[in-house]
Amino acid sequence: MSVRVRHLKEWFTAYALLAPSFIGLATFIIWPMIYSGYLSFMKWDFLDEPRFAGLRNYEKLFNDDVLHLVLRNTAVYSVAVVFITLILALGLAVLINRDLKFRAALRAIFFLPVVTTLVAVSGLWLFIYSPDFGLMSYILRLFGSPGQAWLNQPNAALWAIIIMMIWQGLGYDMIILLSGLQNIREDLYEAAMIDGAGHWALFWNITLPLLSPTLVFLLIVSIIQAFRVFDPVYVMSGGTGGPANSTATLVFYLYKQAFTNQDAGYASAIAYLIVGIAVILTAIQLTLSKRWVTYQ
Amino acid sequence: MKKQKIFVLVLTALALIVSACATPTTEAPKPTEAPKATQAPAATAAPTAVPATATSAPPVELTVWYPLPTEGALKEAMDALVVKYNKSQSKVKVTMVLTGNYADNYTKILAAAAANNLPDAAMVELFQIPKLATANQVLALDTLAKDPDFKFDDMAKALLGNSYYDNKLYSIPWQRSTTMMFYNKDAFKAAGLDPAKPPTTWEETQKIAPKLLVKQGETVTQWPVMGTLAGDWFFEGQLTAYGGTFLSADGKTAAYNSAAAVKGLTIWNDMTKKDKTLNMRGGAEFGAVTNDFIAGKAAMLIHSIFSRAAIEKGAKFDWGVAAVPGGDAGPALAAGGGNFVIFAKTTPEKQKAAWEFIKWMTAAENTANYAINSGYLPVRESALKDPAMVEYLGKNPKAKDAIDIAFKYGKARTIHPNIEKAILQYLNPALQSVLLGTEDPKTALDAAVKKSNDELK
Repeated sequence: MSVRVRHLKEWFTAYALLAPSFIGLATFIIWPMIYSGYLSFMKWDFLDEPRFAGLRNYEKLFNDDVLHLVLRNTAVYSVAVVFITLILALGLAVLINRDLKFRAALRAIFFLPVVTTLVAVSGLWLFIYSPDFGLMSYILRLFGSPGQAWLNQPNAALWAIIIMMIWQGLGYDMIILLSGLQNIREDLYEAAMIDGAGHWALFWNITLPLLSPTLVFLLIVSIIQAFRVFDPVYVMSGGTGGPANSTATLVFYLYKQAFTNQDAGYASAIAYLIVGIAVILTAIQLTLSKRWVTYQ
Repeated sequence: MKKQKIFVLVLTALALIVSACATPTTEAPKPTEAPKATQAPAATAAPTAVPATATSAPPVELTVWYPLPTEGALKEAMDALVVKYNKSQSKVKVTMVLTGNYADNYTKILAAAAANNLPDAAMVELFQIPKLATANQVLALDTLAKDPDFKFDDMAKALLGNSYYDNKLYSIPWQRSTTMMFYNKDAFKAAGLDPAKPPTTWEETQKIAPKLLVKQGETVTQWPVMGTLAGDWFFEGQLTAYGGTFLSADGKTAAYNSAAAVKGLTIWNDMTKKDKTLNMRGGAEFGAVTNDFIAGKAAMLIHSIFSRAAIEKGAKFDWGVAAVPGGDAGPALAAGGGNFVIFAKTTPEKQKAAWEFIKWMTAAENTANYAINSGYLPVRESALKDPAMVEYLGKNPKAKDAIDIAFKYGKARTIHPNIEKAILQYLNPALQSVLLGTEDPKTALDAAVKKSNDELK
């Protein structure tokens, strides 16, 4: 077989193997994105013919008060969930990263919420937050305060969901951080301890810098994931977005505009807003990670 | 080496074929095929032996989508009726597909409409009908309704309001409810109130409420009034009871910040925040409040006529049914539930078949059957005289009370094709920020109306 034929055969095999993934990607991701971009310049209610609307949907992004509230909700949710989970998980990982007897069991216990389905998790937390029977109200009553219905209060509803998602995400961050910790060479710690470094100094000067690749990875992944939150909001608010839209997040608002308000054009504009935000966030994180990440 | 490559290529070819089959079709309309949402319901419409007739034309196959607020008893009742229909005749075969709740059902319909893949008929929530009508997706039924077999005049008048849009009949009532009040007669007696005379206005309710408040230390063990009122369904009833409307008469401006609206909202707000006699619960607790009433935690429950069955089963105290207290214009119970529609883009043959199906379902005997098993209202006056219904009402006098009250005070909901976008998306958060938050009624409603008017322009 000549070199040329072999070359072609290799190319053909390569593309043939790539084809299924590419077809899936094209059909479910690329095509909808293009169509959505087209729709964002139209006015369409799914029933009649789409009509050209120019930049009106994008103008609406600036004038819509509710969208601004939604952006705020999403930002608060993302920052709170990502940072609180990360800090707590870091603490847990450091604590567990010793030759503990039940380390494997502890890891499993913390990871269980991560693999529990959302339906079960929300059922559980709806019960915990129930004003009369829930655990939260019970604890509050022990401190003398009356039973509260956090999910019904515009000020508290979002935090109720944030707490639930921190509880669920803790295990995932912890496991990833644990594996990051275990990649740090033991002799670095030994050397530092010989030089008289205390726990805090060890943590600050060795652990944290060498954990930075893992931390930055988790940060990027978690923030993007948090920005796209939909399921917990939908389930915990019964599909309404919380009292007075207090738990409505970007993707939820997009869904509502599309299917409840039948405004496919505006929903598509919101979708592109989310893309724009994601691009900006990723760019920020990439530049910052260049400065922050230390490799061994 | 060669064998391996061939194997890999064959696998790739298979994967290509499979992925090509899996891609959703967004082109040619396939109105006669069952939509992708079809799963288990095939088991329900499984008529076995269809008697062969001399001129056996194959039965017309219909696909009908429907939503339910909760499965269980409702689905069983529905399935039983559909099986009975399919067995009773050989001209039409119905496959009834449960699509979820009212919102899920509508989302599926929108997606199917966009893909030109709608079923033949469906049940939709009342305020989804005007939009489908203006988009010419559903058939106007005026001519079909003249069918003498259908006995149009027998349909319950209180339920027909939402069947029309633009003076044309677009839907037939099917699973209908209204708001309703349930009250604990024992609690009334203990408070020194006449259990046969529940309050008929909110002013009266506000006055007697303190007598029905029972506390143990700081915790309330019995609320005078309880409900999930911070939503458009209950509020439309309240607004109507005080003489107001969502929209102006010409339908061009929002009117839900009128004096009547502010009055109705203020009294609820005062009872919740100042008097602390109204336990205002969030929308997600719609089911939970019924359980609380059954457990004796409230003297009066504002809810759906639908919960009568659960209360009947669970309450261990003497209780009664009454109209939700009214305002200056008397009691008004907001209508709820779903109607049948026939889609316009399906074939005329299937439209006729769908009509036959709807006719059968809404016949006195069958609507009575569904009413008994589900707790929804019967849609015909004559259903009240159906023998099974008479027997049921004899054994359950409170069911009769509920039906009578619903027919007497039931009021249709506002009809507008963009009701979600123009009104509900601003009204609901406003109600919640007042009743569940700290906003002032007039300010909140004014702000919401301003946004609605921008939308309505």
